[in-house]
Amino acid sequence: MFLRYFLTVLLFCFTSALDPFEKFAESTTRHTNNWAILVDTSRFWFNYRHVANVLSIYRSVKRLGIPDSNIILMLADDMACNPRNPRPAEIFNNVAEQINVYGDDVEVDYRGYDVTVENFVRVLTNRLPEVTPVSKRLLSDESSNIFIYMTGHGGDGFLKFQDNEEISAVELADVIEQMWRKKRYHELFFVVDTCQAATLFEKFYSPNILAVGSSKRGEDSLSHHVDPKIGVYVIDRFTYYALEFLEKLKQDSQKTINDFFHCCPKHLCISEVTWRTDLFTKRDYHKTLLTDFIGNVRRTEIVMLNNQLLDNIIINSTLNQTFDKQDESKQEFTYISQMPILD
Amino acid sequence: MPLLSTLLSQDIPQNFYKLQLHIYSGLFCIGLLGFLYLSSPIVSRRTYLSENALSPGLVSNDLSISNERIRQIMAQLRAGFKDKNIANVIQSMLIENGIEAYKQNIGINSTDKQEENIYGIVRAPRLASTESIILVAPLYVRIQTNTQQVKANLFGIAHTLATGFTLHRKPYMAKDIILLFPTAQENGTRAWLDAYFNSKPDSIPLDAHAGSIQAGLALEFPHEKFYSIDLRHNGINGQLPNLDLINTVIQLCDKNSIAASLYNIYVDLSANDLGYDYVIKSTRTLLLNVLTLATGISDGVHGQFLHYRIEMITLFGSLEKHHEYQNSPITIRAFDDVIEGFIRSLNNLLERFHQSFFFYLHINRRNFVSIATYMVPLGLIVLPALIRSLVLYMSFFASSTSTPTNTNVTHGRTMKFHVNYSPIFFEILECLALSYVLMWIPLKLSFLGIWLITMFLSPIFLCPLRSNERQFDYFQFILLLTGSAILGCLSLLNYSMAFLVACFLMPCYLIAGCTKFEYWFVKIICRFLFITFLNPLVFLALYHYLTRLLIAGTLVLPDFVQFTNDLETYFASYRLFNAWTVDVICLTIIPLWLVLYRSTFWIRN
Repeated sequence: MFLRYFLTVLLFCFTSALDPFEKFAESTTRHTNNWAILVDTSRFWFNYRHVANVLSIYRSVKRLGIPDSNIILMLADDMACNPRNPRPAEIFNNVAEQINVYGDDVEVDYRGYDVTVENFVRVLTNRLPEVTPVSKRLLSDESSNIFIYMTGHGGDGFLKFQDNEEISAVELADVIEQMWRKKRYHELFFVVDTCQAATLFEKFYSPNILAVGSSKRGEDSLSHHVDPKIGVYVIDRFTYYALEFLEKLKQDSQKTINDFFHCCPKHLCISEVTWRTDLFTKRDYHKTLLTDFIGNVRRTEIVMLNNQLLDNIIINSTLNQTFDKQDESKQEFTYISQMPILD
Repeated sequence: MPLLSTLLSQDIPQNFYKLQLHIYSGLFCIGLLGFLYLSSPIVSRRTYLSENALSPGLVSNDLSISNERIRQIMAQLRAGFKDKNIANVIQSMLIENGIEAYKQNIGINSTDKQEENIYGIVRAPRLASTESIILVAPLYVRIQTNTQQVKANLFGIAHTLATGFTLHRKPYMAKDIILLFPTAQENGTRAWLDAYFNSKPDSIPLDAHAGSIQAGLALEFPHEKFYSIDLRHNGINGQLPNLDLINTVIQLCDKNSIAASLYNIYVDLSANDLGYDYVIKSTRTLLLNVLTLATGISDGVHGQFLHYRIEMITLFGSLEKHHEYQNSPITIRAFDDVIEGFIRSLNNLLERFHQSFFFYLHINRRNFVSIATYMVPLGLIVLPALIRSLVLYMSFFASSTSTPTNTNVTHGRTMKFHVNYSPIFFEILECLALSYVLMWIPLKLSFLGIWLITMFLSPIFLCPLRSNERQFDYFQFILLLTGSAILGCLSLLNYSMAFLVACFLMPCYLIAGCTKFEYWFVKIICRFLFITFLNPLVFLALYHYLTRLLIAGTLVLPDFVQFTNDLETYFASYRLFNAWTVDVICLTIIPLWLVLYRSTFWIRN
């Protein structure tokens, strides 16, 4: 009897060491999909830079792999078709005017007066009306990593939406806690570029959150430069330097969150970039890759057929193809570019 | 602290009674000095732009109007003025360039010619006409030195037209631009505005309207070469445009190194320390600000637009050279940059001007005082009247403990004497009736002189009431309260006028109150003062002389003929501006003054 008991324990130990599920269990503590929510909260022509901020981040996020179906883009005003825009249908984030960030492949999910505090909260907690299309929903689950970027005019403990309402830091913290309770995120990365940005995330209390803001309490975040031909400021400082950092990233980059925190030192940003990591306990943010949030996880299996990659050959169903395991040779694997964006 | 209803004259310390005269005159002098002190940098503030959307000068200049084009336009305009069909010329020029143009008939002028306003509307290309701005260039403008003479406003009209032509079809214009060329200055402008807003029941509506007009600029340039720009912002009845508008124009002028003067006074702000020059010029600007606003008429067509709350100032091309070492006139390029920058700034706005001050006084083009600050000196000047009325009030009532002989029970308090109300009522009615005569007689100096002499002799034929000291005090009490109330109301409408009237009325009250003294020669002196110094015509003459001194900047001799001419022009034309200055003075201030004068005759020994 003792022997039976002993053998059972031994068997248990061995299987747990070799259990293929173990590896899988470990991998479920990693995320399986990425979502991004990019919000611009200001209206009016002279807040052109906030729309340019968000669209530039959108561009980087998309380039690094997150598809439109996983991005929720909220723009509070239409700058491209504003009658004051001397370059109609174009939005630039730089005085050189080389990239039109409002190009053909920008999908805006919430626009104009739809960008309200209520809609933002409903998106995060998925309490939307039943008729809401899938493209306007945040269909995240407990293994999603979410990247939230917000820009606009903010103050001590609030962010102004559309010039007539605000979301307070306490409210936002409660919404994020609701997301945690509903198991709607695995890890959250919260980036804010407004005046007194750090006050917006200081009330968070849910686990697994990283947050960075462009200025601390009492400080204004400054804009970077003006485009004299358009007559408005076109980008904010923190976003400008964050973009410089993100433009150098590739999908397999090993840059960490800590590097992103230091992308805009005080002599460049003038306001003090403040971050919060005390809720991010499971991992060390010094070792967390930035692409965990801003990139996209794709577990792809590459099937070999006659030692060639599947999408390079035309399948002829009349041919009998067999593949030989011995003919397998070492191949270099690279990520297929997801969409035809010119890098 | 005893309640007001239980205060008695014995509650006032005796020292106060001895020092009353000193306190009142002291407060009055402190008020006057305080007003002059407004020009100091401790009290005045630096101007700033409240509306962030304006951002003047942030956008680089996009329009390039060539000199050749301007010369072409001016040649056509010159021909039009010579052939006396300028309206057709302007209309055809607008239509040639694709801008809708209309004419408005406003009647026949003195030379049997049809007077016409011309206006064109440059529509916003990508927006329905929800808002618009207006550029006004009167056909004829008064020249600087002689306000009776007019010259054709060639430069102003040419630049308005050129700006309209180049802004036509620009993709970034979000507002309509109305180009208005009114004839007969204020007359024509007023007719156009009445027709545009349909404010008179018998006005014919205009052919076309644009969006709701938010702001604008008036260009008056009698000379083709000018050395500085004089900003004129006085509106009707003390109205002023929004301070943001003026600050935008001044910022653009500074950026293009154009000297922008206020009342033809330019203060050099480049030095860090205040020199004698700065103090003198700032005080001159402040005083001229008040003195010119008090008349209630505006010094340009912009006043008519301010009446409808369309923010506008007039840019006048002046021949004064204000910058040191300035030898050459202002370049067309710099001027066009200012106009274009102004239009681009206005283009950014979504709403009317509402952020910045509407009530302010300029010290110089970069410093001002707001209403919160400049009300205090007026308050100090009117304070003696209120204190005196309080003192008099407390002296009327007997305490309940004393045994009065001659008492009158009034609502719980016993007055020490019986008040006869009917003589007071008749006195006030007589003075009102006498002043009402002024509304009917033609206001020429000769008539006014005759009226004034009649008033001085009125105590002889219209017997003033005989009263003892108590009645006199009671009547003074009523007059003090009336005067304070009138000044209070006036200060909210036209502060400058209220200030000048207060400076005139407070000495009147003081002198009238002084007739209480027992000595017979005090009464004679008081009456004499009323006749010579404290009468309205002399005060007007002094005011006119002071204004001329301040405008000239140097000592000038008093000129009676000039005074007569200016006065008669003013009386003839004030109605054109919707100004109520003369009416209010004739119906409220003159009766008050008259009653005060007659009160020097009440107490007989």
